Amino acid sequence: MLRSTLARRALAVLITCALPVLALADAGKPLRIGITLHPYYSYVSNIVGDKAEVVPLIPAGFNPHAYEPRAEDIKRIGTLDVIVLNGVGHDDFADRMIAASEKPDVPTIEANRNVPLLAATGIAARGAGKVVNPHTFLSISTTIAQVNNIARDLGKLDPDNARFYTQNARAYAKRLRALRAEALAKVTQAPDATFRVATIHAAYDYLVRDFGLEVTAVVEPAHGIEPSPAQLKKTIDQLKALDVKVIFSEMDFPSAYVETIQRESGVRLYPLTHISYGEYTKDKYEVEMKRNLDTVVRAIQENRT
Amino acid sequence: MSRAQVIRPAGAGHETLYVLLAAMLIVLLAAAVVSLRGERDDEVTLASHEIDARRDLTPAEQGLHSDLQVAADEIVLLREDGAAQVEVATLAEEGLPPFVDDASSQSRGRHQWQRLSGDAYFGRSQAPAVAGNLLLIVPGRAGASADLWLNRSEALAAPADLSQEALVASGWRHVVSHFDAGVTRQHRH
Repeated sequence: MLRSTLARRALAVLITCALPVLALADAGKPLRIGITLHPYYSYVSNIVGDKAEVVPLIPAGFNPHAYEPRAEDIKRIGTLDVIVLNGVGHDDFADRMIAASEKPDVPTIEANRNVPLLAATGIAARGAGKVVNPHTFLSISTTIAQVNNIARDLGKLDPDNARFYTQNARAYAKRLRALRAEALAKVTQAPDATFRVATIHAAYDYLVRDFGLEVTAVVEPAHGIEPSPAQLKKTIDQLKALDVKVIFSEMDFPSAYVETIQRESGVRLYPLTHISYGEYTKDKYEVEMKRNLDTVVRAIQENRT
Repeated sequence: MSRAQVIRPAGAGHETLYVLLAAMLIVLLAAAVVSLRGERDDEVTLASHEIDARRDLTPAEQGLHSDLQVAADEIVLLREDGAAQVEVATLAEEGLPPFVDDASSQSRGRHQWQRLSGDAYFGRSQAPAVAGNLLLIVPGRAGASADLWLNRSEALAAPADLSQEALVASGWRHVVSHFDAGVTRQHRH
């Protein structure tokens, strides 16, 4: 009897001693950060280094334009501490997934908070400039603004590593700025107003604006939707009438109708990547964005009149 | 002998009434559904001294706006690193657009930048038709958003008084951005 009381007391003391350690272990556990699109995987991985885990909400290989949430993807949200969102129209599926998950009140970081947005072009625009273009990840300057936002908000959730996150974000921003500067250095003379460009997907306004260009026409009638034959004919006539010099097409989502446009209009095509396809990697954004910048530079150099 | 016998329908007049009532009911129901579930019109009304970043800026000004937002973040961080004042030359050395001279700054109005008292930076445009004169006022702490002012006058002198009233009086307009609707999402969280 005495022995068992002693044993119980010893156990109680042990548990009392162990509790703070257990609690600490929980608090010191690295954050699990959810992301929705490939660029955000690269951003967050570069900000957190090895101090947190970055978890894509949708598995590699799915097209975010046509993604429908699956049960196992929704279940994974229950294990996350925070989710980083584009939040201006490219990852609306995340709202539904979070609402249906075990953690409907999981904190979210709106990467595009206070980021200057451009108006959507094409039919999606629905009224003068009201609808915003969600592809802020395809420009270096709006990317850096988002990286700063994400680093600041992660620092609030994980104050011990706040300084580390800010430093990493700045180093990353510096590398991205260098990419842009390198590309701009090759365009010694900016193209004039007659250099008109069109795009297949309404995604590259932010990217070409870094070069002082504007998108004149967009081929897709709506975000991620292929044009009908009648719409295609209208677009081809429009491209001819506007004397468009260059069309930026899609590298990741190729379509047969794009060749028809080239054949009928005679305008040269340059494929850009939407950075929304393939494996999630830390350096994906830098690698693919460099390719995009090089493509725009090449398009300007080869078509300058 | 023939006599015309008029036989009135059993529900004379009533059918018309019922059909009309049913039609009205459908119209009212539809109106109720539309008013409850329709797209809300969240137009933000701007004050006379404000200018919308998405609709009312030129492409060059839009590009400068996003570059200056990033620069403002960096200026706050450089100050936290111990720099008392961040000079324009320092920003150019850091490679921060639009302070660095490159093809982009050349095609966007060739602004000449100078730091004013406090944490304000004034860019005098060489081509106000492409992009107007700009005034960036950097916040004191990280996380607060910087203020950008625009003035499209030719040959403008640097503003002496940076208070909102003085800027408005001398023709400056505050650049504001807001979210109306996404391609698919209607309202921000």
